[in-house]
Amino acid sequence: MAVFRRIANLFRRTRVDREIDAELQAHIALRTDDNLAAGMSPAEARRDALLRFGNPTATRERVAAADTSLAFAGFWRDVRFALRQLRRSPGFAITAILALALGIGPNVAIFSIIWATFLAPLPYPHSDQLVVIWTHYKGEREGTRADDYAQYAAQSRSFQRLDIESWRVLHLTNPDHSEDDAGGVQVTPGFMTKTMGVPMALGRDFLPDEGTPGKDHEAIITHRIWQERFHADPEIVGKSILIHDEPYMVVGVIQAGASDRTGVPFMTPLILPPGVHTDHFGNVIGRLKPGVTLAQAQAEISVIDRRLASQRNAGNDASSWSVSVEQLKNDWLDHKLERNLWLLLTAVGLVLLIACANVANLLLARGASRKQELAVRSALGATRGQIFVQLLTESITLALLGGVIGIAMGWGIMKLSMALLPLAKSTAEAEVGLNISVLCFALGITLLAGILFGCAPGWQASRLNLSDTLKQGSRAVGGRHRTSGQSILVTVEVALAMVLLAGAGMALHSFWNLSHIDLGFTADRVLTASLRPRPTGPQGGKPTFPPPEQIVVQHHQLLDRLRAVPGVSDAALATGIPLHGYDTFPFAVAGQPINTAHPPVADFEAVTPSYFGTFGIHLARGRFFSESDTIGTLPVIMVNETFVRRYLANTDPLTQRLLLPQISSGNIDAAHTAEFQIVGVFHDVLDNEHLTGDVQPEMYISLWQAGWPYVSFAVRTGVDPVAVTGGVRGAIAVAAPGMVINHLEMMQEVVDEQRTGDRFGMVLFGGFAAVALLLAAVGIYGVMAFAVAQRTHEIGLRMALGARRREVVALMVRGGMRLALLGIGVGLAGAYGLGRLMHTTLYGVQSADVGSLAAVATVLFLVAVLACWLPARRSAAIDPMQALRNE
Amino acid sequence: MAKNDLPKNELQGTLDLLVFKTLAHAGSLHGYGIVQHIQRASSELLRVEEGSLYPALHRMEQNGWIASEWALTETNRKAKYYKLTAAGRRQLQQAEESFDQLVKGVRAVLRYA
Repeated sequence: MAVFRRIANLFRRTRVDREIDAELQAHIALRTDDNLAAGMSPAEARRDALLRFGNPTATRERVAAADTSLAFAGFWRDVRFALRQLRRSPGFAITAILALALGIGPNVAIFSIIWATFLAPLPYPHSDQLVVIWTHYKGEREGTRADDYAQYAAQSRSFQRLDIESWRVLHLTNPDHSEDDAGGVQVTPGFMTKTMGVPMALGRDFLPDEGTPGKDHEAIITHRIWQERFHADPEIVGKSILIHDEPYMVVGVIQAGASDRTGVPFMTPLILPPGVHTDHFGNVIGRLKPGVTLAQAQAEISVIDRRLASQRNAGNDASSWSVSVEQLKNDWLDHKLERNLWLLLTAVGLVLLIACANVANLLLARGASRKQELAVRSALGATRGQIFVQLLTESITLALLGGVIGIAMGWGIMKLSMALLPLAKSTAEAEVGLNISVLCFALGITLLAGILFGCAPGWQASRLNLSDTLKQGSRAVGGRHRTSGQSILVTVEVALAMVLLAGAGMALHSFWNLSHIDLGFTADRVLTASLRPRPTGPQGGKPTFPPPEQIVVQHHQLLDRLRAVPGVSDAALATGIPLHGYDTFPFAVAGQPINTAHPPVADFEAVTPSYFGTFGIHLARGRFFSESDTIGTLPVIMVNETFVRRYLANTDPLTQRLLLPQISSGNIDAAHTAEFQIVGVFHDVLDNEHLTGDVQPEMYISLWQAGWPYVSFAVRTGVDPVAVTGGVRGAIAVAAPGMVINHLEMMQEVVDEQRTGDRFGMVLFGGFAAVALLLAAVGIYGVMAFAVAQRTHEIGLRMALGARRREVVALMVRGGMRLALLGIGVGLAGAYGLGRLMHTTLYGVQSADVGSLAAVATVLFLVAVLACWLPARRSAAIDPMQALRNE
Repeated sequence: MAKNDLPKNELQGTLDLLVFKTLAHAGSLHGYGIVQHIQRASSELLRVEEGSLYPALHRMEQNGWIASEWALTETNRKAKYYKLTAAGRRQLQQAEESFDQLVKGVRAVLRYA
């Protein structure tokens, strides 16, 4: 309450001044009275009183100053005092501030990413009103059917607006008619400006009647694509752009900001009137009316959905479906990435703890030499509380200095990691940066750190025994109990560093495993793309295809063209390429009983004979396809090793025949089966979309025997694949004018992209672990140096009594190593815990990863030995006579 | 001014103790009375500077260790009277203990050094 009184005094300074004046005048009057009584003349009496008093104005100022200085200046005085103390020992100050900056920087960096990714409110006006309606099937989140959306929109009262963002992705068409990668979406008119509340930078949003068939060839584009692709053309509105090779008129450019970070470059309009059936699915996004709660909206939508379900007549399965109204938030991220980020935050938290332990240690060492100063102060009337507050102020001053540098460092780390290690194409709509929340977080952890490590010297000071300290003079007495606090802190530091190093070791091990996965093919210098027939005429009609023989002829011509492109060494066509997913196609083994209810399934693709050479796939048994396996010759098939293991375990696969539905010209005729002779077994190729999944059983037939119209192509190049893309596009344009190139990509990039998240985790984890190692080493070094300095006398005595220099060094090193080993031991237990946490994000690494644990423990041990040996070496340089004479 | 902070702080402990002790003994007293009392009680050995006393009184009051009220003196003048609060009494005890330690320490040094 005293604080409030002082602060209040600040505002009524004049009143306080007047009161002080009155009091001082009273004092002078009382003195004058006494002087008069003692027999002085009135003038003399007053003069004496005034003289004794000194300058009353100055005194008044000082009385008033006692006031304000107690409130604020008291703190500033402590801060100034702390700064002076720091300037007096720059080595200590720089080490401590750097250690703190190293601890705080990574926290700021990781938190700024986490804040933007998971915690920040979405950057839209009143984003708390934005909701998503999810359809759930057996607990799994699904898109909502457009028909249901139309009913929700028509019947609900909870929403200002309800929009749908269709999952049907549209692609821009490049000038050479190939398809651009970035996909746009179809949305109901008003979604951007009215529901999301993002205004247009140019032009307008869709009109309410735009989006019906025949009136849906308009587009709004993001600011980013406007700049990057259309060179910020100020006249873009009204111009036509090609989407799926059809002209769409640009009606608006969305304001720069959040929509640039969603990865959706453009939108086209879509209107879904209730009662008109379409096969769209999508995200239903709405804005609640003010005052309507999520629960109310949920209740209303559930009622509508139950009514719809009874009309839909979904039958037995109805109970598997449900709907939920949820806050719109950034929860579309890969779980692994999400987990990685939180793990990283834990890791940097540990780094900060190590930094705190480090600084606490430095303060303890310094506190020993300040004991006398503190003893004198407390003897002169400073209370324990006052000394504690002063020491805490010093710690917090240190922390703030470290925090400022740490924030700058964190900004650098954040920018660097965002630039070098893109987590994903779009992690969050909120911008990653140093905003108010991040700064508050930084200030919070800085103060917390200051209080945390500030307790150490405070605790030390509170144990100060006054008369002992004053009696002893400056000589510090050795002995283990004097440094027990420091020993504990060093052990903690080493243990925490061990945990972090173990995490980094496991991340590294996992990444090494990922980099050495047997893909089954050589990704280097392979360029792939899929071909899609150019849409002709009205959409939705069943396409017709020429007979298979004709398709084969066209494919031969296409392949010849691709092979003729300069730089291309081999080319192949196939219905699917590795790492792009697989299907499950039913088959039967000839001569074995047919299981109609649960037939065996395998991935089924048709490939040209050159496929194996182009991808560098090895043969395990039998033979590859040959050019002479054609329509009319014996139908042949190849299977992979997994297929053999799973379905043909006890037979010679080369003697078996497989029964498959008849296929020709884009049709699969399940009524008729064809018999294929297995002629070869190839080495397993990763066909799923993740590097880490199991290999599926696979069956390949020759494309020359199938004549399938939809294909992808792959070319192996002798040069950098980027150099041949122009030639390849040209070859396709000539040989397959009816085809659009889709997803032209380097196979190596596809593989690398799979490892992006893991690389991000590994590099950052490794970097933070290195910081931890450094801090721990500095901590050990500091304690050892202090111990050597304190035990100079003892060492001198030992040496005078005949101890050899080497023995003395060994003695000192042993003391340090005991702490390091204890720390490593404790850290191993923590590492096991971390391993369990990290387990799901790692590949091929046990939660107790003995190999990497041993490796990092060894590294830590060696660093600890070095950090002990360097200061211990100094003890050998002690001159016994000198050391003893110091007494 | 920064250079003067330290010694002043250290002396405060002693002055505070003297004021505490005086007020504990006399109950309620004005600044001038405190000066007089210390002088008398120390057999004229200690003389408190008015220039240090009033800032100290003000600071102690702000810390809640002493409380003040205006009242009339025997000579019918208005003066500000101070008295110890409960917190002040605790503070007195601590100040006395630290001072005893100081004295013991100094004495020890004087004896052996």
